[in-house]
Amino acid sequence: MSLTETSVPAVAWKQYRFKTKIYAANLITLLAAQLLGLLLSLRGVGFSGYSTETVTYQITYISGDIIVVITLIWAFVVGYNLAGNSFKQDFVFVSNRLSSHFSNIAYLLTSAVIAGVTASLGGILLRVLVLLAYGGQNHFGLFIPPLDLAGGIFAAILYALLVSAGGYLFGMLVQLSRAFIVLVPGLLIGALYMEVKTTGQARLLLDAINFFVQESSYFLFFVKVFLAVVLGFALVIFFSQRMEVRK
Amino acid sequence: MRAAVECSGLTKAFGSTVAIDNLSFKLPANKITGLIGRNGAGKTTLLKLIAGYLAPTGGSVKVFSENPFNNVRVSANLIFVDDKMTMPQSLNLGEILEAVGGFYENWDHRLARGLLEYFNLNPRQHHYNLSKGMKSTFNMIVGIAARCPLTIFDEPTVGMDAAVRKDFYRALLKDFLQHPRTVFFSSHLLNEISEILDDILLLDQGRCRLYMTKDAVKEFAVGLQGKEEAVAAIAGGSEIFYRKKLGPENLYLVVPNRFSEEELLAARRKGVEVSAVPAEDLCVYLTAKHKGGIDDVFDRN
Repeated sequence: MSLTETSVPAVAWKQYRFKTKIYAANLITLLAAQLLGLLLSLRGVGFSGYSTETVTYQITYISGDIIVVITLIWAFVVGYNLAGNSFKQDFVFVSNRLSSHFSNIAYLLTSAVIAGVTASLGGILLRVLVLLAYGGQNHFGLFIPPLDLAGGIFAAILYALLVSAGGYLFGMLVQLSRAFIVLVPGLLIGALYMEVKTTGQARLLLDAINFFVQESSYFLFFVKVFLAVVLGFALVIFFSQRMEVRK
Repeated sequence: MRAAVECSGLTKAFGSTVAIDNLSFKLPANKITGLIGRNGAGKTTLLKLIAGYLAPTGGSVKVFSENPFNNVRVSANLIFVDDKMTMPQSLNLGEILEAVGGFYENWDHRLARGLLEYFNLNPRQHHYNLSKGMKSTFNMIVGIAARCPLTIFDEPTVGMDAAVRKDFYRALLKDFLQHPRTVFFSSHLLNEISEILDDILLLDQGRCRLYMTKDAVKEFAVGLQGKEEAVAAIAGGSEIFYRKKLGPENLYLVVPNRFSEEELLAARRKGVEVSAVPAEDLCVYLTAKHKGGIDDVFDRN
């Protein structure tokens, strides 16, 4: 029987298509989670009110943040689970470590795009629902300029990618050694605790979050996320090169 | 002939346990070789090293002249079938066959569907709902239909009933004859599989105890049975693979078959029965720690 010639990109592409098929249920979970987020958002995220003898008013703050947060949690779980399953599943059929990672990265990218778009659209749906529910005359701020919407979607996609890459990195560390399951959260919380105890505030974590969140330029935000994600994947690829399968 | 698998000085240790110990052999292409050995002999470890799942501690393993570890070219030409194959939970059996077929260039989908039907597996069932034997049957179907130049079966018949096992051996042999490939097949049931085997590799404590054609294994040893003195006289100082007392006077010995026709004839005249030793028994004797078998344990008391 003659040997089959193949290459890493060719195999990675097959694996990517395989994964979109076998992990299709992830999308249903995403939609269910976002629906839940939508319902929770309808109650509003904050209230304030004022009342006198003659006038009573109440302000309800409604925002799509819950949908985004839930979507990001989903992205983390997808990344983490993918890291846990992929070597076990991939090496049953044709794979090497690199092709497995490439197909996973492509899958996470696809997931991030879907998550980012649906989360943003979920926010719009929320506005419409609020309008229908509460009515009102002045639809101030209901309309989102297309460019702003595109920017929001773009940012949401990058956040989802960043978080799912984090989940993937964490999941792969756990695959390397079970100890990381305790070690990573332990170190994070430990470092935070020490910092808060000595300086009174958690600058490290806030700085890390602000590094991404407070970036006002879409381009620079993209560059930051891109570099962080590339660094994460490079780490994973590097330390999993000698990792054994199905010990 | 070009070797499909070549091991030289291959060693694999898990901590202080040496599973594969300085093993060297060449597996010829396009033959069915049986990997035989006791529990814990290192069969699965050896197969996983060949499949590139594990990295050797020492020595080297080559599959189609390349290192199989982390090698996508070797992976594309190899399938490893056992009862622990992870199959996607979200797909049913029919969908799994569709999806898996995409990975293998020589995949025969008609054969896969045909075998699925023959073995009464419903394509709409899910893998995790199958019984042990049905799981093995399904994995075996994937293994055969993939038509990989190197097909590895690690105890593929776990849980299969006798009828299914028989059909499986026949299916494998039929497809092998039409599409010859290298098959490396580990099993405890040497009697059952010996019909489809060309060669036998006997592994004992991570080392190669015996590696020869099936026919040579049949000729390898001979059983002598008769009065103790007569049997001992014929055996002389040769290595004894197995020894069993039969009643107060009689003895059964298994020794290497280095006798000429005349010697065997003379032995028969002295009342010593000369018999062939079935391959499976021989493999048990060769890998036994006690030359008298389990009886040793009881005779000591």
